[in-house]
Amino acid sequence: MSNATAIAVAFVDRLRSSGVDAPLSASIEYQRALGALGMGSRDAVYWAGRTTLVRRREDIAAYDTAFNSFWDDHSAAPYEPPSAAMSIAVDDEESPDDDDGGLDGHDADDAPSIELRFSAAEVLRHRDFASYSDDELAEARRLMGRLRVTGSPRRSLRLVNGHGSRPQMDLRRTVRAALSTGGEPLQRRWRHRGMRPRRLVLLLDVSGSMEPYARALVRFAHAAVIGRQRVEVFALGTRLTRMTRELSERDPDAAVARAARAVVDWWHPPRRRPERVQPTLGTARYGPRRHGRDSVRWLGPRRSEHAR
Amino acid sequence: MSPESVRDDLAAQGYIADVGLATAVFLARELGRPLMLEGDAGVGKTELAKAIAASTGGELIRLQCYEGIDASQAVYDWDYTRQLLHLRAAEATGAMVGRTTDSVEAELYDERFLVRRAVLRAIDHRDGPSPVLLIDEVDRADDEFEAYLLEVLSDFQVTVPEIGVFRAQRPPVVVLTSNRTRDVHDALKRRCLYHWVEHPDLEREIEIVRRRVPEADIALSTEVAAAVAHLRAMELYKPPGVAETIDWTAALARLGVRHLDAASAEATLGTVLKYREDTERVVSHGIDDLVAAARSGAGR
Repeated sequence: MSNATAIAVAFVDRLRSSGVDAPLSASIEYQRALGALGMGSRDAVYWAGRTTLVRRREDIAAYDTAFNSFWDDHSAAPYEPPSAAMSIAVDDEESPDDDDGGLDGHDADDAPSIELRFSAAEVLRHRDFASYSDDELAEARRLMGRLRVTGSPRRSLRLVNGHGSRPQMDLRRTVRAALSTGGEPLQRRWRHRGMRPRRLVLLLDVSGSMEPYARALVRFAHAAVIGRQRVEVFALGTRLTRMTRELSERDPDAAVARAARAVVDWWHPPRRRPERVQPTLGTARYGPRRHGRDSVRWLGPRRSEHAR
Repeated sequence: MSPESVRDDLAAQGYIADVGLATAVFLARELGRPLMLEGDAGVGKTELAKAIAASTGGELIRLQCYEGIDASQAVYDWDYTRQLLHLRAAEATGAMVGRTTDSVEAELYDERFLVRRAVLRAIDHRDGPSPVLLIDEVDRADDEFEAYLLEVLSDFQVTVPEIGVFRAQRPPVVVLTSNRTRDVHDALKRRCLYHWVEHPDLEREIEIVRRRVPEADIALSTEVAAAVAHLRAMELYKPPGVAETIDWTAALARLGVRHLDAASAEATLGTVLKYREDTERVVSHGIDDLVAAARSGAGR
């Protein structure tokens, strides 16, 4: 192993220790890039690594740090990396359940910061529900009424018409189309597997300290229930109460009122914390066992964030 | 070839690249690796592929990805209707008599019934300089297609079961772009060199605008570039890219404007801001402020 190779490998090692995932193949590419560019200038060495070892924008800062500290250990010349900091406007859907439990492989720090940027909605987003005035609450209700909770869909078994990425021949429609071309199946018809929304399970904490949020949460859950199929809503106080049926009424105020009547421990201070919620959801009591597997679960709000 | 010569070649095509981007293109060509470009919309990712093609003289083959794209639209397909008609014609002329099923089938899966789509055309390229395959907005395609690209991009070969393997004699220059509407799978990125395309700095942007809109006054180009830099710092919903700077300058030049002023800026704001909320925000901050910032930025 030549000296240059040893140094390059040591640098990749340093990079890994600062949290950048650089596989062996990237290390080999780095060697090749250094071979092609030569190690004559700092720019060449910098960009050889930036191009081959970094594969995510988030890693650029870590790379710059590792680069500076590593090469400064070997030579005293100071190096200012090209500045990379730049704010990016994330064009993201504003649905709070976008994050489906990490199924997409998003890292926590990878999640784009969701922020409404315009008009009064921004104020509402950053305010605590507890401190809403009546007007603001009405505005929040209006916004929540317009909200449609979607989340990421999953592939269903049911076939729908069309040429998706894995089409199957639709014999019935192909033969029907062939009738108009003298029995020759000139036009083929296809079907492919459609998409369906994942089951969404909302667990709402409506116990004592959450009282100011409970109404807003239930409004949110109502928007979810009305907006899509396959939603289950449970209120979580000292016990678990299913609210899905109560919330399936279209009128938001009537639905919330019915839900409030159904939840017996609504707005009472908790005497005991429910310890095992998951097994209850998994049983046949509320739907199939698959609840736990393909569903998006959302538990909110978290006590630590909102405790008074 | 060196990064500097790549940079000069691209500049000759009107594409002003910084040292990082020029190095990435150089490495992509030298190592025969696909180049994955990410960055905000309008920073010139697609333009780069065009400039590479123009500078090498290779054919630009563009594959625009979309949800549901599959191999039959991106790689190859069989011309089913022509196959069927061929079969019927052979039947009608009696050419089928005395032939085995196998020989008839072999005739149906002949190369002349093969519809070559972008990827196969880029790989099965026989003469002339290597083509440039632009796989645009790969983040829009779905996972299955990404998985298929893996095979193509690591070996530069396509297998057509009925015919055999097409292997690239010289690998094409492959440029993938992504707007990061979702994360492209890591396995695909691992096969590629990666470059994050930044918005250009002020000097580079002025140079780009002057190249692309030569009819505009130097003062105007400078002021517009400075104004756009100011807009980018405003945390807009959709910060303007280089494409918008060029459009804005071209619009103002067409109107005969020689210096950016509040009236002309407001009248042409639609070329640079594409969301009503952004426009409202800029107007509420004051067009005069924007123009003043542009003048002082250009003066520096």
